[in-house]
Amino acid sequence: MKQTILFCLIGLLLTGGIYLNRQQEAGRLRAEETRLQADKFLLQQQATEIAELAKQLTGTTDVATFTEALYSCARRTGIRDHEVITTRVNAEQQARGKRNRSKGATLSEQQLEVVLTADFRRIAEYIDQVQKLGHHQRISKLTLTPGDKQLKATMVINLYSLGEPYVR
Amino acid sequence: MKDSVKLFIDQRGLDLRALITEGDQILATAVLPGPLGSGSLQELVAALVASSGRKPEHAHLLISNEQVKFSTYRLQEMPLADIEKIVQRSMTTATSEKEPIFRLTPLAPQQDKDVYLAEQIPREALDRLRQLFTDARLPLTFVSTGLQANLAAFAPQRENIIQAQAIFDISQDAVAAIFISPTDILHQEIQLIPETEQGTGDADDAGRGLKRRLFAILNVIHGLYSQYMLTNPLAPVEKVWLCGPGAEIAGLDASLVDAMDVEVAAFDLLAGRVEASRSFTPLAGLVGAKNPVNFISAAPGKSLPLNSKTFMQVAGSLVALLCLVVVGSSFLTVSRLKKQLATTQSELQPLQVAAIADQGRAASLRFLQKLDQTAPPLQAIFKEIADRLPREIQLDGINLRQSDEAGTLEVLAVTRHKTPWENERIFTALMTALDGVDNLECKQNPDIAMLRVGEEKMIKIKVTCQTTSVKGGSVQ
Repeated sequence: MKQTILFCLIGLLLTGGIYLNRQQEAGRLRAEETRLQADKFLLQQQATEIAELAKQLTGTTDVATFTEALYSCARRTGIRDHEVITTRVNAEQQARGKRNRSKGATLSEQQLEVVLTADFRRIAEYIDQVQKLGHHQRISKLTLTPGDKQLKATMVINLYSLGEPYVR
Repeated sequence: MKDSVKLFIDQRGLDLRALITEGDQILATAVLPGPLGSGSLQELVAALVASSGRKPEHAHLLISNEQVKFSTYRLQEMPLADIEKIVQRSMTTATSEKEPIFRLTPLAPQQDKDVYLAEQIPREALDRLRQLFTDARLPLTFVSTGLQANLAAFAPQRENIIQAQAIFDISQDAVAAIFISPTDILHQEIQLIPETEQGTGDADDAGRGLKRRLFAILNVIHGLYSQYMLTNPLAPVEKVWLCGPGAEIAGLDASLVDAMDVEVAAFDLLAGRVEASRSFTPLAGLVGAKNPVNFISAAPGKSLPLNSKTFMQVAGSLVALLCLVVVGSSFLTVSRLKKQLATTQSELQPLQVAAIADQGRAASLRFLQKLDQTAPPLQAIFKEIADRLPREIQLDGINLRQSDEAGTLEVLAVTRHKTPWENERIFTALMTALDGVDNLECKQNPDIAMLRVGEEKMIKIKVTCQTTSVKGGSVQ
């Protein structure tokens, strides 16, 4: 009888030890699981966000259309002396400073130089209309210098796109 | 409540006598040759079941005289519990049995001392009997002796005793005598009947054999009676009761009256109810007794450890099972969590790979998104500059540099140089005007240069400002 009680006590102690050990392991695994689930949720959210942005922003640079739009802006604002020339194509194999070689990650850049002559009010209005054209463009350089009677504006417009340039 | 069906077996003598009862009602009797063994027991039970139509639920046994050890103790007057301890110690010493199974029956005191008759049944014999009945699937719940059975059977008659009466329970091989007064058992003794010569088998021989047996029984009874009279001369026997199978011999009653000159009566509780009824008297006494002496109840020490051991085994098994369940469930939980973790990791891995692969694309997309949102409102800035410029100052040009990180706007202005100075606060007025333009931050000091245009002296001022987007913050 004493042996049975002794065995029972030893068994209970061993069981308690094993149980505590397993509980600790289970707690660690649960914490790990929670962390992984959070990571997974974050990555899924990011993937959804990227997919949504890609749907909205992905497209090719259409220089011809944009140039026509620039002339249209000039006509609407009454600017007669208006010239547009393309300068260079810059396809960056990087994502604004980060390494990236995956398909569709190439951010291509097209520069256009616009030279126009008009009074200050018309130039300001023209710039406003250009800024409203969209096409992921930025006026990266603008110089206003006084001419004979009017101001001469020289501007560089950068066109960005996530896709091959010159493809309509 | 329904009465239980009991089997009563008398093991004493050469034959086995049994009766089956339901409550106080005797359903059937049977007599089979002994000794008691597994075969004879099953045969006995089968015979009784066949004749009564009822199956016994438990068995009562009158143990054979050979298995009972009689001893007499003369002790000072003391409580019964103390007497039992003394007797137990004495028996333990004599038999090496730790807890002997015995019963004490008080006899008539002798010379100011209490006298007790101890009947002891060896534990081994009792265990063997219980096993025998257990094997026959009939629990043995009651074991008693011939003396106790006869005392129980005679109990209703005791109040009629004046001085002393005698019970002779005669079996095939022995005579058990009990001399009894209204208050005490005066004497008890068992004597074997000497074996008589067997005849050749004819009628005359059988008659002679019966006579020889009758004489032998008479001789034994006379001897017992003489023995009693020697020790109890003041209590002569007034009546003799005869029972047992040997009492059925024809002529015994009359011969005894002649020989001993006492009244002889049949001690027959079942007279007219069964055949050879006197041989069943001790059993019938047990059937009717309210609290008969049971030797099984006197042996609790044996069953308790067994029960206790069984209980401990069951409890130990339960604890072991519980431990197994707890350990098993813990391991299962951990195993399940590990599987779950592996699944999550396998789901996460492609997402991580895709995220790394998409890092550049994501950055480019965010750049494009920001590009549309953070363009400085140039028209508004230019208009405000034109409106706010002090009258003395003319705008000479504007240079805008817009990069990923910041946008810089250089405002070039000219004013006439006049001495004496008309407006000494012209520079601060320009800075204040530019500082008030929305989406423009002019924190740097202006560059001032002198310019000669023909005969006129001009002051050229260059102010460098930072553009901000409509949503606030520098353009990046």
